[in-house]
Order: sequence, then C-alpha cells, then structure tokens
Amino acid sequence: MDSGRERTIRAWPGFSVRLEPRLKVPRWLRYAVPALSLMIALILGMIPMLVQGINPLTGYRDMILLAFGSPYGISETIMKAIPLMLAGLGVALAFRMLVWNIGAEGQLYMGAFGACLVAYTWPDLPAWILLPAMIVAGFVGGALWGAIPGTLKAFLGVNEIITSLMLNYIAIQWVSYLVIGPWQDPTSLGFPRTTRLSESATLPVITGAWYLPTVVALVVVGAVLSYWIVRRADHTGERVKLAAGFVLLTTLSLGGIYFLDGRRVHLGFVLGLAAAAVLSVLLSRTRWGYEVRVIGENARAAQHAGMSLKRNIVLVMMISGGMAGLAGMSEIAGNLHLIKRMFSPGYGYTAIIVAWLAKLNPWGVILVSLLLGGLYRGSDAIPGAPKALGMMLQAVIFFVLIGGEVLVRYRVRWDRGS
Amino acid sequence: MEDKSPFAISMEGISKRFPGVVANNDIDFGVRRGEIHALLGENGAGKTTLMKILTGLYQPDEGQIRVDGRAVTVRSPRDAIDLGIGMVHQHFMLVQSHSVAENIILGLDAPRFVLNLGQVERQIAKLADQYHLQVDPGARVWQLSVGEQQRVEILKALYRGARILVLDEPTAVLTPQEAEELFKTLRSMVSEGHTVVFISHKLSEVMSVADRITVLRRGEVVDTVAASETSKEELARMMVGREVLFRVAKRDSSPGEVVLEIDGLRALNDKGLEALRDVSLTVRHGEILGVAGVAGNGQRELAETVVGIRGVTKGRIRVDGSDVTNKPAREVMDRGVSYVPADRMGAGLVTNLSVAENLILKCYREPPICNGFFLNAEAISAHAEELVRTYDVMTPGIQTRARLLSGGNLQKLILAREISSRPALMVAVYPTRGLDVGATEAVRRLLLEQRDAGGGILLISEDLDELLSMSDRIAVLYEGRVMGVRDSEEASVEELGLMMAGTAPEDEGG
Amino acid sequence: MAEFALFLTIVVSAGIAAGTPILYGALGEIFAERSGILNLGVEGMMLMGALAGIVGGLATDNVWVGALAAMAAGGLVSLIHAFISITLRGDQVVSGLALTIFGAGLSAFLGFPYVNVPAPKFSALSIPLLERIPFVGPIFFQHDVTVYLAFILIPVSWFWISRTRPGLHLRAVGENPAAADALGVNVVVVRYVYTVVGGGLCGLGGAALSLAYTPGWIENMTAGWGWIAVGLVIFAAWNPWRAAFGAYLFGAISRVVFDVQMLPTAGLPQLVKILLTPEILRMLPYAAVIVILVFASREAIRKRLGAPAALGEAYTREEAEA
Repeated sequence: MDSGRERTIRAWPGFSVRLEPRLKVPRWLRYAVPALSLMIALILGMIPMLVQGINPLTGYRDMILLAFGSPYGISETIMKAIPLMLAGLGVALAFRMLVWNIGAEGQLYMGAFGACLVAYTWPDLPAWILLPAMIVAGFVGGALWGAIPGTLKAFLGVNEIITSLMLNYIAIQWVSYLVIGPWQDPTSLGFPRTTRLSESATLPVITGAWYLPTVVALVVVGAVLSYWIVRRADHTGERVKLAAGFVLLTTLSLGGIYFLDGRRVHLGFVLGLAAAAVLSVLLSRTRWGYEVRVIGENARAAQHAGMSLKRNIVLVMMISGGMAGLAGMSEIAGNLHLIKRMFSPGYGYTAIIVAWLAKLNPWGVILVSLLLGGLYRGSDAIPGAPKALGMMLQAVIFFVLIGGEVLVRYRVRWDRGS
Repeated sequence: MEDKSPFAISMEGISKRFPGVVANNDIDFGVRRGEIHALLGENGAGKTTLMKILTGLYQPDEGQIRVDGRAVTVRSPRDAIDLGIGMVHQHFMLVQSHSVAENIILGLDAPRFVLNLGQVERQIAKLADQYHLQVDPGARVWQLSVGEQQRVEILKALYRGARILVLDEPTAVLTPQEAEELFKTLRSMVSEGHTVVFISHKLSEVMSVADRITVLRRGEVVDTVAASETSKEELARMMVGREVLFRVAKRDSSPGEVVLEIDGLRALNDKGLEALRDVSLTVRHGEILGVAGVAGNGQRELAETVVGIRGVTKGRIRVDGSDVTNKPAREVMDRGVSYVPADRMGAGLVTNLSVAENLILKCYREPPICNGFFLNAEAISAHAEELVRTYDVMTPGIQTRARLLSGGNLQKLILAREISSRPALMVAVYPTRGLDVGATEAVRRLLLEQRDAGGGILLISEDLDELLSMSDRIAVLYEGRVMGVRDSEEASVEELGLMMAGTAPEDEGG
Repeated sequence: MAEFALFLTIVVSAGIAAGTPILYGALGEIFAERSGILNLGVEGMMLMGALAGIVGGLATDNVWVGALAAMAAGGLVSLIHAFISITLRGDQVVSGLALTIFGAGLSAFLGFPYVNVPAPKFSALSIPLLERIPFVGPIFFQHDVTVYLAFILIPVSWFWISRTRPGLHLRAVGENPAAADALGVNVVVVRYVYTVVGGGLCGLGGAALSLAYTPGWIENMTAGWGWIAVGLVIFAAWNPWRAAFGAYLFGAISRVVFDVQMLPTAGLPQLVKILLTPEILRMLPYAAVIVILVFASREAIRKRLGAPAALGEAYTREEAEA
C-alpha cells in the first residue's frame, strides 16, 4: 500500500490544488521540465536587467554571441568551463554521498597554492617532471583542505557546510598573504601579484604540436573505455547511451580542430574530460562507487551492510577537495600563469550550481559547465557589473530548476469544492 | 425535538481511494452510545484509514458521517475535537522533549497567551485522578514508560472533552497486564457515559473487552456482530476469508553446536541509559530462540549489539566460538551473522537502487560479484535473477527500483539476500510486522527452512502466538534483563505474560 | 590595571556593536529552525537587506524607512525558500544555498550604482542616565538604535519561544509536526510565518550593517557573517541568550583582530610578524567559528542537546498507512 504522500493546498475558497505523486515519470517530462525551467529562468532574469536599464533581449543576444558565436568565443567559454568542470565533478561526488562540500572555492585556492609551491621551489625542472608534480601537488593541496571538514564531520559530527565554508575564507586570506608577501613580484607595485611561473610550469595549450596527439589519445581512450563498458552493459539502453557518448566525443574532438587550433585552451580541458570518465566509471562500476551511492541513498542500510561511514566521508571529501584543487591548479598553470588576489570569480560556488543542475552526473557536469562557462563569458558583453549578472542569472536558473523538479515528481490536480 | 439516535457515530457509504489502491469501499459503520466497539481486521484492511476519516485527518471520497444522528463534515482534526471525538494513535503523537502538560494543551486556545503551566498541571492531575490514569504532569515525555505515554494520549483527548474515544491498536506496546489495566479504564469510561472504538487485529482481546465487533477485510465490511454471539474461529475466518491454521507445522528440532553465546551483556541505548542489563543467552545451530517482550525493553539494542552496530559496555558475544564483542559490523557479518531489521524500508533496503543492487548489499565485496576494484555486472545480474526466482519475489525486473515493490516482496527480498549468504546465525526483528497473511506465511516458512538447514535464528517478535509456534525456546526480556527461558512446548501465555511484565518466575507465590 | 579595565570595556562594547548584525541573523535563523525549516540563505538575505536598507534610505532620506525596506526584502526573499521547502517539499539545504547565491548575486547586480554612495544612517544614540553607570554604562548604552533594538529582541524572543502559547506551537511544529497537526495546529502556516519572520530579521541584520555598523554599500559586504550566524545557532543550542553571547563574543574577536592590525610590529620576531599581518589575522574569526562548532558538537553529544527533531525535514500529512 505504498501510496506516497498527498498534499492539499487551499488556494482559493471553494478551490483547492493537490499535488499527487506520480507513480511513473514519463520520459519526455524528465527533459521537458528542465528545459522549460531554463526558459522561465531566463525570462525572470530579464527583470533585474530591466531595472538596471539594460535591454534584456539584446542583452541575451549579445551574451550568446560573445560566448558561442565565434571560434574565439567558444574557446574562451571553454577556458571558463575548465575550472567549473573540475570543481563541479568534485562537488558532485561529495553531494552523491550527501556530504555538502561548500568548500570548493577554498580547496581550489589551496590547490593553486600546492601547485605553485612546487613550481616556485623547483622552477627549472623539465616540464615532463614539473607538470605532473604540480598536478599531484594541486590535488593534494585541495584534498588536505577538504579532509579537514571531512574529518570533523566523520569523527565529531560537526556540520560540514559551515566548516568547509569558513575554510574558504581562510584559504583566500592565506593566498592573499602569499601574494602580497613572500611570493610577491617586486615589479608589480600597484596591483599585487606573484611572479610569473616558469615556462615548464605551464599547462600546454591544445594547439599545434599538441593537438593531434591529444585528439588521437582521446579517441583511442574513449573507444577502449566504451568497448569495455559496452561489453559489461546489461541492457540495450545503456549500450545506446555509451555509443552515443562515444560518437559525441569523437565529433567534438574532430570538430574542435576548427575551434581550438590557435586558441588558448589548455590541457586542463583534457584533464577535465578524463576526470569525468574516471569518476563515471568509479561510481557505476566499482566497489567504492557502489558504497558511495548506497551511503548517499540510505546511510543506515549502508552501516548495516558493514560499510564504514567515517572512512568514506573523509575519503569523499578528500577526493572532492582534490578535484577542486585541480581546478585551482589548472587555472593558474594553464590560464593565468601567476596568482592574483581573488583570482577565482567564484568558481567554487558556481561549481555547486553546476553539480546540481547536472543532477550529480559526471557527464552532465561537463555539459552544464560548458553552459555556465558561456554565462561567465557572455556576461562580459554587458557593461555594468558583469560578474554579478552572471551570478544572478545562475542563481535564478538554480531556483527555478529546483521548483521544476517538483513538477517532475508530482502531478498537479485542481479540485472544485473544499 | 430531534430524534436522538442510539448511534453515537454513524458512517454511511464511506469510500476512500489512494493512487493504486482502494482503502475503504462503501463502508457502513455504526457505534452505539456507551458501548465498546472493536474494529477488527488484518494489516491493510482499512481500519486506520476509516478512523482517520472519522477524526478529520483524511477526507472521504464518498459517504456521510453522522454524530448523534446529525450529519457532519469533519474537515480537520480540530473539527473532530469540536465534535467530541478524540483519537489515541498507535504511534504516539507526542513531542518527546516537552512536558506532559505542554503536550496536553498543545493546539488549544487556552491559556490565551502566556503559558501558566502550574494551573494546567493541577487540572491535569485532577483529571488523571478521576479516570485513574496516573502520570506526572511535569515530567518530560521521553522520561515516561510506554504505558504512561499512552495515558498521556488518553488524557489529551479527555482534556478536550472527548465523549467518543478512538484507540488505534492500543495494546501493541503493552504487556498483557498493562492491557488489562487499559481495558479496566475503558470500561470505567464507558460507565461514565463515554463511547469507545478500538482498532485491533488481536482476536483474544477483542473477544474479551468489546461489546460489538465489526470485521473489515480488504477495505470492505464483512459483518458486524455482538461479541457474545461469535467465536475466535468465526472472527478469524471473517478476517481472512478462509480457514486459518493457528499453528505452523514444524519439524522437531535437532539442535547442534552453540552458534551464539551471549554472556553478561550490558549496553546503553541511544539516550545513554542502560538498555541491556546482564543478559546471557545461547542459540544453537538448527534452533530458533524466540525473544518475547513488549517493544522497548531492549530487544532492538540486543539485536544491534549481536550484529555489531551497537557497542557493548560489558560482557561477551561469541559466534561459533569466536569473540565478536564490539567488533565492527563488517567483521561480525564475515563470521556468518546476518540481520533482518525491523525497519525494512529504512535500514534493510536502499529503496532508490535497483533490486539487483539491493541483493548484493551483503556480498558485494566477494568474488564473483567483485573483482578487486571493479564490480562484475554479469555476475550481479545472474545472482539477482536466481534469487528472485528461488524466493518468488514479484518484481517487474531486476533493474526495477526497490521502492516500487510491495511490503511482502520487500521482506522476501531481504530474506533472500540474507539467507542466500548462508549465515550461521540470523537475527530477525519483527519479520512479519505489517505483512498480510500470505506474505507472513511465506516469511515464516523461509525462516523455518533456514532453521532446518542448520542455521540458528534469534527471532525477536511482538506476536506471542508467532513466537510460541515458531520458536524452539523462548526468552523474555523485561527492562533489559532476561526474565527466563522456556521450551516453547512447555511455556504458557500466562507465565510469559507475567515475565513480560517484570515478574520473575521465582517471585510467584505459593 | 585600569588600562586593562579600559581595554576590556572597549573590547566588550565593540563586540556588542560588531556582533549585532550577526545576532539579528542568528535570531532570525533560530525562529526559522525552531519551526523545523533549515534556512541556509541567511547570508543572501542579509545582503539583500543591506542593499534594500540603503536604497530605501536614500529614496526617502529616512533611515527608518530603509530599515523597514530591509526587513521587507529579507522577508520576501525568504518567502521563496519557504515556498520551495514547505509547499513544494524541496530539499532545504539546496534551496537555502540557492537563496544565498541568489541574494548575493542579485544584490551585487542591483547594488552596482550604489557602491560607496553615502546614505542616511543610524547615528550613535547614548541613553542619557544609564550611560553614566560605571563600567556597564559605556559598554551597553553608547550605541545606536539597532543595538538597542537587539537588546530588547533577545529577552522578547526567549519569552515568546519558551513561555507563550504561540511559542509552544512553534516548538511543537519543529519537534513533531505530525503531533501538532493532529491537534489542529496549522503546521504550514506556522512554518511560513516563522520562516518569513526569520528572513525579515536577517534583512534587518543586513540593515544593521549598511545603515549602522559599516555604513554604505559594498558588494558582498557581509563577508561570510551570515554563515557565521548559522553556525552560531548551533552553538547557541537554539537559545536566544546563548546566541547573544556567541554573537557578541564573535564581534569582540573581530574587533580585536582589526585593532591588532594597527599595532606596530617593529621589534617583534619574524613568526609573530607573520601572524600579525592583516591577511593572517583576518583568518582568526573564521577559524574561531570552526573551533566553537567543534566544542558545540561535543557538548551536544554529552548533554543530549538536540536540534529541533524535525529540522530540515519536509512535512506531509502521512497518507501511506491504511
């Protein structure tokens, strides 16, 4: 007799609205509602724009053109999407286990710190040693920072939302200190920044010599992964999804010749895609992924099955933090090549929105981060508080989507009479 | 002058539908003034739904309610209270951290603004005296025993001037002696002019205290009879629709080696109070040890300590000879202990995962399901297909999400998973709670098969009949102590009831 | 000794002034959480309130109107969270986060033209006789109206919650909404009311910042203080008096941190110099919150002090049993 929950709202005297749970969710609804929510959000977003005296229609048009209208625009969008991807994957993983990692921003900064620590200490090492070392250091920096709220939650039951958030502010201050203190570039008087990273401490750009090998590697790896997973898939639906994914990946890679050659997009993009693949496999095909999913769905059942909650909470926070740390590392080593104060325009926070919009699915994260990266990039098209426009639109989308979620799960019924 | 109907309550043509199920179908139900009327039926028959309609928690899709002959609409619990109808729920609706007085006056319009608890407490004390319902008005609810909490619920209704009292499975949490106390209270209330309706699925108590009985089955009224004109067998037939065997056919047990040895166990409950005091028990291979006792006397804590989810402050637990005291749950599981928890949707299953994924919850660490780091999807499917077939679990497919299955099938799923791991010891807590007759028989059969195959079972149940028929030996827990262990062939309900109420066998006079 | 006494007076007084905005946030959140609704959007509501205060104050050249506008802004924005959490039964954690991001983003966007624009503010208002009391006087009675209002709110909140009938209903709804519902308490209305009231108080907290403590508007001016208010509620065990203690303590720490930055560091050892740089010092308040939370968690386990039992869970009239 599992009839679910009914809710009656007396909307008007003589009239009531009921939310009745759906027994089965129709496929088309699952996709139609987020799309509809997106449209509603965009419409709602017009209101503040009007208040500021901006024409919303031309505004949106300009934003879309700037973000996606030209090869250069797309490459810049991808540049913004890379840290969102990496941090978003980390946040999505933590959220899967209902560990609310709000500290991605701080973990991002600490990842940048770790990577630069290595880069400034040994600037003359050859790139093939230095870069992997920086990647590891970036991951470790974020992971250790994430371990703090993780351990506090696991062993002392301290709320991780607040601790991870406080650590954000601490991390930002720490990096600020380094920027105006020991790492400051003496020639940078008015606008404090660190000295520029050495040549070998730079994430190479996917262009020229690097392009073809990258594409080939991606295609080969993708083919191998897909084949191997398809062999293990238990029904057709999954095979189709994977085949589609593989075709998409190949098309993107090949089509990318036009967009990415000669642009600034760096290897961080590949890192992001690889991370998504790894995380996807991890969640669905491994023992640990199974544990994460079970704990996230039903912690008590997990305990009864002998899974260790404490260990997994710390582990998940470390990996989540590590991913955000990679985001920080890639942003410094691939994009900025030095550190400024507040070098992140809130990537860690946007990553939360990315993870949620993507429904915590790794490939969804890639897609959504490209969209939101476009939002970041497009905001430059409108004069007057560009960064805040992006933030505001993101939040509106987020809100409307949460509301839309409900429509997917419930059917609305009107009743006449009491 | 209105024609005063002999019926305090009359429900006519009541129907109520939920998505996928008809809970009440055209029910006619009448309660005469000044009588004790029992509403009898199995779990899921529609009794609670009907009473929730009467007390304003649900709205009927069709039908009419009359109180004292007047047609009324009960739109909310407030309306019911205004009409003089008070309900005492099966799961108490009390705010644990508040005091008795605060709970009783909750929702009332007086006192107007500032709480004057002293005065309220005096009023409550007077009311309690009048009805012989002893309770301390200033105590916090979490400090009270279950029987006392029930008294608070009854006082809540009486304080609001309820003339008609509806009790939902009131004896579910009481010892036989406390139940007798309750029935005495009900009879005295009736003599003061109140009317009582109580919902039950227990034939013996219904026969002993009710004046008239209405039997519901699958949402419909089967019949309304006077208690003096019927028998337990007839009622059971009406409830279930066919002849019911009161005892399950059971092979003689041939118990083997000791599988579980509990020695001097002490443990705390969630509130930090002692839940188990010096408990010592043994279970052998091939035997079922039943644990009887009113819920809340340490049963849950006993199960959790044996399974490794709860720590022990003193004493030893040994499984097949090895000490598993305070070892982590995983290690205890590896030693061959499996757990069928009371709360199947809660702790037993992950409802959003598929049937297949739920079935590997215990064995996901071992080959062939797991190859080092990775899970083997083919092996998982094969495993699931086989279990679903062997245990006759009704599901659209193994990829279906577990939450879509019915209660009985969920329990079969859990048992399938646990039994298939061939445990040396199975700890089953209230395994047939909430299941219909068919599912209950299936579950009991599976447990007996497990026992015949040589496994030991620690069976914790609130159904004394079930324990008597299934167990080889029965232990009784009261306030965390073992009051006694008896062979089920020799045990009597009276003796067990006394032990459940705290009277150790040696204390009996003469 | 007299110097130390003076120092203490200044620190406590400054603590009260600095802690007042956070206290409003904490009180607002206490109301919401006592009714069972977890509202993590305090930071966003404070920002919206701060901006609304400035806008309202500038538009009418009247601080009081500004303060009212701030309350309205906070209340309106929290209405969204209330709708999602109560009516739509959405996930309260996510909705609250969205609220924060929304409030921060919208306020930054709309506040752009108001950055550093001088606006009317609440000026210091010493209370005539009381301020002369030695020690206590300068500490408590030389502030502005927002602080005094907070003084009044603390006991009023406490009394309302624990000693009145509506307060009983509030607590019951947060502990066991099913029980309250069965007795005719309108759970939905209670939760809506207190969530919006909580939002209004958070908005007022924002105004306490932009119209009193740090007058003016700067993007993101709360710098995480809204989150600190949320943490404070846990530390306060949902009790207004403890919240006040925590808020003022935190204010004092912030003030000390600020003042220490001014100290000359000439002859001090290198490590101490590093510890005294503004950036490092600014970490202190946030670290203090973490430490406080750790202690609060351990105390909660020891004393069995709990959150309202139904906190963060959506309530539906259960219709699953038959």
